[in-house]
Amino acid sequence: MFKELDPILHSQLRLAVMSLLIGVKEAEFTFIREKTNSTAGNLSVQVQKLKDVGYIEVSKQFKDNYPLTTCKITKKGIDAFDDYVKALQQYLQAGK
Amino acid sequence: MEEEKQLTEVESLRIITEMIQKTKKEFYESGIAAILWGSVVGFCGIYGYLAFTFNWPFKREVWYLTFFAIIPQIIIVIKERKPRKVKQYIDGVGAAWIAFAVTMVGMAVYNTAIPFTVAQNFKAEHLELLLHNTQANTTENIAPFIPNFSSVYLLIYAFPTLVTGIGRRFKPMLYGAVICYLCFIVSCFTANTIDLLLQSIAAISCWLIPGIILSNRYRKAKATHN
Repeated sequence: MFKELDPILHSQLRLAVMSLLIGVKEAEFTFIREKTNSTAGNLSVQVQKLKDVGYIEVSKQFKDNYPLTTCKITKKGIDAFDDYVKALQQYLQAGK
Repeated sequence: MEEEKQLTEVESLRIITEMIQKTKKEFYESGIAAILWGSVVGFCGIYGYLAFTFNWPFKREVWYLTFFAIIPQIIIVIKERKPRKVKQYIDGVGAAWIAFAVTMVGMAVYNTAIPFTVAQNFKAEHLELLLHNTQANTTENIAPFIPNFSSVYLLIYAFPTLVTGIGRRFKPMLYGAVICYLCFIVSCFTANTIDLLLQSIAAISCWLIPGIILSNRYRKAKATHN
């Protein structure tokens, strides 16, 4: 029986964001935007969705009078990512 | 990157791999700190050896350079951290270098305090340390000292270098650590002046050479990244 892939993570941009955040302590919004080649508007929407389900934490501060948004993966996010990768492995092994 | 495109499993795997690789590129070590410490300790060891051999000045004082090297080290840390838009976890390798820095400060304190404390203890017990020359049949009063201290330093140099070599699968540091351990073994049987030379060899092989290799890699990675 295949485990269903988490619909929140099974989306191009959200998966990219989570894959970036999984290996780091925290990352600035601009860093994520650069690495994912996404637009600020689209990324904001997807970051908000990840935040709403509790997969990431978003903090907004000011640095040198400029707004600074940083994102950090949560424990729930790490577990969800882990489950997603395991489910993905199942699908890929079955396809061999 | 478009959002609501339907993903296949293979595409998902490709995204995960690609993003993890992109993050990895952010954390290439510049090697500057390794070059700094490899050069400073390497120079102090060689100079110390030559100064003792040819009776040059600043035989021991040359090691104060290592204290001054802390200033550029702090600047390097601040400079490398500033432009990064992403923060890394401190892993085992990073923790080993933090422990190394603390240990080196502790060693400096130990090196300074112990001879003084031993002298005080001797004084309290009405004892003194004498050095007797059997050939000249002379005896002189000497201050307590820690014998063959360079060997202990060599062991401490090797530790975080070996952790980095294994943890990062970075062969130049692995070989450097092996050379350092060999220098330690040799130092247990050699005179103090030779130990200085061994310390220099260890610093060059543990840090300077791997640092130069890291620096070249960093420049290449940055060139392909930009």
